[in-house]
Amino acid sequence: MFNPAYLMYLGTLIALFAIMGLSFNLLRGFTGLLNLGHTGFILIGAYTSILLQRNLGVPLILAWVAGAIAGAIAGIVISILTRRGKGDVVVGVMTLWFMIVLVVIALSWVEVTRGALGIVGIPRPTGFESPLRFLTFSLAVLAVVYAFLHRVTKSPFGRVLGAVRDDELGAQTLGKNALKARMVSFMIGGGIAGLSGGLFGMFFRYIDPSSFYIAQIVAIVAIAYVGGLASLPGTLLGTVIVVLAPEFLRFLPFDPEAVGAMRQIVFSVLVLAVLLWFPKGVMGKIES
Amino acid sequence: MSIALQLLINILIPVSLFSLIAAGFSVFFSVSRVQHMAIGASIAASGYGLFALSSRIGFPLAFIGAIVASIVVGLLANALVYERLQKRRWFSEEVMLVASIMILLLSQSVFLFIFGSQPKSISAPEWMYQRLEFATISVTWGEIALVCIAFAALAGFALYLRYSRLGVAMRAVADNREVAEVIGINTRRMRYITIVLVSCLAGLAGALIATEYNLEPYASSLQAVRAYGRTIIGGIGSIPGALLASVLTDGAENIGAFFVSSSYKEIFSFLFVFVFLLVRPWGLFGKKRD
Amino acid sequence: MLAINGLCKSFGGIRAVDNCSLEIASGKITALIGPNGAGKTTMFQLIAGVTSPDRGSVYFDGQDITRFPIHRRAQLGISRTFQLVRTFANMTVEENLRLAAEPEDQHFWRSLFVPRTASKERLQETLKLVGLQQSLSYAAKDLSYGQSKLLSLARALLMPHKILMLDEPVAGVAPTLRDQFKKLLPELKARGETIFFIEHDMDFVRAVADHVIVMDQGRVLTQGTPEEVLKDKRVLDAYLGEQL
Repeated sequence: MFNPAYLMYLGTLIALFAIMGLSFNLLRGFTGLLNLGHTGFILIGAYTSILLQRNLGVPLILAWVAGAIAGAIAGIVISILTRRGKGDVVVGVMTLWFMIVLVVIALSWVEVTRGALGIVGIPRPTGFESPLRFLTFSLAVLAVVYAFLHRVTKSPFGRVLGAVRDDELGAQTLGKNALKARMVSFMIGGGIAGLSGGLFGMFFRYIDPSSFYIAQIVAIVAIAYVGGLASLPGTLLGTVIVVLAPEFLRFLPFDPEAVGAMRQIVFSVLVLAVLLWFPKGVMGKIES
Repeated sequence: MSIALQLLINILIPVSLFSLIAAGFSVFFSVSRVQHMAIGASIAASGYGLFALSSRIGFPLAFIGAIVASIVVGLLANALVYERLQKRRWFSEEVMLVASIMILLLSQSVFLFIFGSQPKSISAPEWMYQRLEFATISVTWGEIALVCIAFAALAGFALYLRYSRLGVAMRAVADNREVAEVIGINTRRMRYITIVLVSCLAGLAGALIATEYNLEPYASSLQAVRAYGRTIIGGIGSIPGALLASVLTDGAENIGAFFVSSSYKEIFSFLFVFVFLLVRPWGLFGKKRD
Repeated sequence: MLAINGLCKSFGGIRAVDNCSLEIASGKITALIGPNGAGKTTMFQLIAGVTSPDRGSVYFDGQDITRFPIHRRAQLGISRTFQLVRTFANMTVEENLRLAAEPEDQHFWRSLFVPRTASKERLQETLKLVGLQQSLSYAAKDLSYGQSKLLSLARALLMPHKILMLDEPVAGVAPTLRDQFKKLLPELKARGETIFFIEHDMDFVRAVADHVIVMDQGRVLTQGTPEEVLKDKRVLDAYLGEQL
C-alpha cells in the first residue's frame, strides 16, 4: 500500500492539483470570480502545448509555455465576455458553459484533437522522465507558482483584487478600474491553469477531453472551498485532503467505474458541508 | 419545402421539452433568487425513475412515479440545502449557485454509481412508436403526444401563474420579496410550493426526454446549463420568454446543425447566450434592474 | 468646479431627476436637501457615475465627464461616501486606507516590486483628523456603525481628490459623533476642501453649510444661504410639516 511508486504518484498528483487549485483560488478567493470553467483553461494549455509539439515540432518547454500563454489569452477573452457578471453570478455559469463548449470542440474536432481517443505518448522534459525526477520537477513548478502568487496577493495590486471582490462599486469609487483588475486576474489564473494543463499531459502521458470535464472542476472547487478561500496555504492543505480522501476508497471492494462516481460524491459532499457549516474551510480568510 | 417542414417538426420536440425546463428554472429563480441548477437532478431522477420502474409496474404508473421522484428530489434540495443556506450569515447568490451545482453533481454521481455509465433506453408502449406519415413528413404518435403534453403543461403553468391566487402570490414574491412579506405572504411557503411545481414540470420533461431519447448519465448537467441560458435570454420569471428563448436557441442549433456538423451545435446556443449577456442581460421579457 | 446642465433621469415611469442644472463652487461647503424621494441620491449617483443620465451633462473642472466610468471620475478627483456605509469588510483599517491613498496600486508590475508608498504617519494623521480611535491593524468588519462612517470619510480624504461628496454623513449617528462632524467639516474647508453633501438634519445643515440647494420631485426648487432657504415658504411646503 505504501510502496514508493504509489507515493510518488500521489505526490505528483498533489503538486499538479495544487497548481490548479491555486490558480482557481486566485480567481475565486482573491478576486471573487467564480470560474467554474477553470478546467477549460487547463484544457487549452494541455492541447496547445502537445499539439504545438506534435504538429509543429516546437520544443517541449517552449510549447509548454505557449500553452500557458494560450490559457492567459483565453482568460482575457473570458474576462471581457463576463464583464457584466458578478452581481448576477453570471460568471459561474457562463464559464461553466465555456468549458462545456471547449470539451465539445475537443471531442468533435477530430482531425486536430483526435476527439475522444485522446492523444497518447506525451513526453516529459528530458532528464525528468522518471517518477522521482518528474515529482521533483512538478514540485519545483509548484514552488515557483506559489511564490509568484504569494507576491501578487500580498502586493498592493493584490489588495485591489480583494477590494474588487468585497465591494466592486466601492473599489471603483476609489478610482480602481475593476474591469482591468478582473482582466489581469483572469489572465494570470488562466495562464497558470494553462501551465498546469501542459504538466497534466506530461504526468499522465495521455490526455482526452473527458479529463477536463465536470469531475475535475468539482475536485478543484472542492480544493479551494475546503482548504479555504483567499488562502494560499489553505489551498495546499485542501489539495492534500481532496486528493487523499478518495484514495481510501481504492481499498474498498468497489469496481473501478464506481470508484470514479464515489470520488465525485465525496467531493460534492465536502463542498456542500463547507457551504452549509464551514464557510471558511480549513484555513480560509474569507467566507464562501 | 418538405425539409423545412420536417425541420420544424424536429424543432418542436426539443423546444417543447426544454422550454418546460427553462420555464420552471426561470420561475423558481424569480421567486427564490436561487439558480436551481439542481433541476438537472430532478430531471435525472425522473428519467432513471422511469427506467427503474417501467419494467416493474408498467409504463403509465412508472411515469407518475418518475414525476414523484423528481418532486422528492426538488423538495429535498430545497429543504436540506436552500432553505438552510438562506439563514446563513454568508448567504449569497453565489453560494446558492455552487450549492445547487454540487447537488446536481452529487445526484449525477449517485445515479452513475447505481446505474452505471452506459446509456439506457426505455421501452414505451407500442402505440407510441407507430409512425404517421402525411405531406412528406414522418412523425410518431409518441412524438405527437409528447409535444402536446409538454405544451399543455407549459400553458397550464403559465395560466396558473397568471390567474390563480397562488400564482399571483408567486409573482408578487418574484417582484419584490420584502413587500410581499409585509402584505402577509409567507415567502418560505411560496418557495416550497414553487419548487414542487417546478419539479413537477421538470419531472414531466425528464420522463418525456427519457422516453424519446436515451438516458445518459452526463446529460443532466447539460440540461441545467441550457435551462440557465434560456432563462437569461428569455428573462427571469417569464414563461413566454423561456418559450421564445427555446425556439430561438433550438431553432438556431438545429438549423446550424443542418449546415455544419451537428456536434458543434452547443456552440451556437452558447454564443447566443453570450451575445445576450453583453447586449441585453435582462433578457427578452425580463425587467431592467439598474 | 462642478456643473450640471439639464440632467434628466427616469426609472420606469418616475422622473427621479427632472431637467436639473446647478453649479458647485470650489472651496465652499454646499448642502443638498429635500424631502424623501426628491432625487438627491440619484443626483449623487449621476455625478459619481453610478448611473448614467437619460439627457443632460455633467462637467467637472471644465471637462465633460457625462460618459465617464466611475473609476475615471474618481481618478479625476471626485471622492464620495455612501449613505449605507461601505468599507472593505475583509480587510484591516490600514488596508482600507491604503487602497484610497495609493492609487498607483493598480499597476500590476510596479506593485510587485515597489513597496507601499503612503507613510504610516500620514494614515494615522488622517485617522486622528476624523477622530477614529482604532489602530491600523483593526479589522474593518469589527467597527461599529459610527466608526465605519469615520473610516469611509478617512478613505474619501486620503484619496487624491478635488471635491468631497458625502451622502448623509451624519445619518443615524450618535450626537457626539455628529458634533465631531460639525467641527470637522469647517476644518476641512479651511484646508481648502470643496464639500458637497446630502443631509436631512437641518440643524447640521444650518451649522455647517455655506450654500444650500433644495430639490423637490426631481427639480431644483431653490438655492441660497441656509437662512434664506430655511425660511422660504416653498421649501417648508415641500417638507409638508416635517420638523425643520
